[in-house]
Amino acid sequence: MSGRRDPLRDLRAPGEPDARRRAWDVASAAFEERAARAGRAGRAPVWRRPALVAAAAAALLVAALSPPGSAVAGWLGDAVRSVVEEDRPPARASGLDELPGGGRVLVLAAPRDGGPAEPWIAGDAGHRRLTGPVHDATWSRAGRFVGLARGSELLAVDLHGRRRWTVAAPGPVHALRWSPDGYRVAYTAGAELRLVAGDGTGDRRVAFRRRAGTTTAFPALAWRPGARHVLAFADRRTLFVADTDERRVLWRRRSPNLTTVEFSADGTRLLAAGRRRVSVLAARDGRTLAQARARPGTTLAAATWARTGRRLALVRRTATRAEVLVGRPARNRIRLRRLFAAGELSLAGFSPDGRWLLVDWDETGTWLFLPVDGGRARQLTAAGRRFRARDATPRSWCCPP
Amino acid sequence: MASEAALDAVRPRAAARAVTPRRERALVRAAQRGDAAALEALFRAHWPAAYRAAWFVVRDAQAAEDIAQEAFLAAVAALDRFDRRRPLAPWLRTIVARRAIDALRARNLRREVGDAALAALPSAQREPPAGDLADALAALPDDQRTVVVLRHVLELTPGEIAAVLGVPRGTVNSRLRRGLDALEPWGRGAR
Repeated sequence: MSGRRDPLRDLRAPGEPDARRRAWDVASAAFEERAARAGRAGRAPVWRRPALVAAAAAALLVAALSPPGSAVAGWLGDAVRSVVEEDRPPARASGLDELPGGGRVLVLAAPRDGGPAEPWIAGDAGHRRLTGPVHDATWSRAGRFVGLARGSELLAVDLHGRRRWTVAAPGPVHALRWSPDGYRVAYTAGAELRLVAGDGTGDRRVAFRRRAGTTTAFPALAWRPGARHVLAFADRRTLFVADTDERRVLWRRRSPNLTTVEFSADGTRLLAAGRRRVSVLAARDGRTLAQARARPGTTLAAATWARTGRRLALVRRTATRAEVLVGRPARNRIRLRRLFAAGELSLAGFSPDGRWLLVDWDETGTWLFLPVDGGRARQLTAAGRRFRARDATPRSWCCPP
Repeated sequence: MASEAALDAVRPRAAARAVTPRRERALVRAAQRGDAAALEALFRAHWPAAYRAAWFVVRDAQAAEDIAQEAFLAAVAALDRFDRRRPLAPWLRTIVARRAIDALRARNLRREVGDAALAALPSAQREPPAGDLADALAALPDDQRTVVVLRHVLELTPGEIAAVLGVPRGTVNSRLRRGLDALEPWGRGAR
């Protein structure tokens, strides 16, 4: 290198100031977390420091008895309190570190500048942004990793945003689903349904639809809990359940326009929902066990099982408002009751303990934690602001103990 | 913890200021003790080069941001185990280089359609056309651009670049030479 300043070193890259600010947020949060861990691990309990506490108490007594010292008594009181309280956990920075029902929530937060959404996590694993913009995200089974879709790229990151693996897909990636045992990830890439091992290897095509159009060819995917890698997937007309290890379709049935499929936690029942009807099917052969239809003038927008598999929740929409309904399948029917109604609602899912339902009340920017067994609902207002975003959408709530 | 506003107030020139090896060792020691200001100083010193290098290799702001972020998260995670006698910068920059090259290779495997920049060939003309040195660097073929960026933005040695890329050192030198020759009209030629 010559003595002159190298002009290549002074080149600026586009987007640098914003990227720098975001990167510092993430790095400093990781550093604070590390410092807090080290502090909790290394700090001696307060009872081992009697001299310090006694000295502070004596000083407080002297200050209180002495008129000139009364002005500093308050300060000393604070000092004693800080010594005594030092070993308590640090104050929560926001309402997002401890969620009702426990666990952690995966969030897509749309930045204020109108850019694409960024993945964040909140809850017992910390509250932080994981990566730059993505358009879909999913938890791994145990909530230790997050699968992300970014254009034609599928990537897995850990809970600090560190990339574990990346797969270059043949088309825009949608509908990621991590298998319950963690060894498979199913996703759609344009007209294809594909499968990759949980370590990012062995990417292969499972199914293909020639006339996929501009949207995904397989709008609904779900893994069945259990030893085999059994996948339910639906195209525009048909619902399939296939053993992906043996590459064999176990059963199929005509089910047009499904938007959601989800197995119950014990793997015996399959929830299949479209805009007009929600059905509970036997996972073994596709027989209908129970179903409910949308009333005239209403549509169904989302449906999910509670972790116990005995209860399900769905959103029913009219032209002007949405209702959150919970119910149990019984004798060919699904008995539903209304839990909450407002203008525009979407479901994020049940809490890991199955007692709370997280609902995004879009128009007010509020997250609602609704107790399904009765009790007082909790809310998190201005949710977007807590993610430095215009809008923050909770995607799913993880993970069962 | 220095606030976000305080970080933003730092002038760009100051943010890119070099840190001497001795000062860097002191900052690493302080950061290991939990001094957030030391981490901030390390961030200021090394993040700009990490982001710029990643951007000029992958030419994608989102990917570059992730690469630089992951490098710093790796540094924070490994802080307690880090050997303070070793310099931080080469370790950090090697992470950035490896991640950027992985991202570039993954993208090339995808054979994106319509990415005109990927198909750009080195300009044969010797007169500076419209555009600046950054445009000229971005227009270099991937193999030359990567080597130029690793050498002149991340300041890796040819031997380190050869190890990162998995190619012989002579190949690194020839790619570097061709890349710098192509940049000569913009004032950054081989000297």
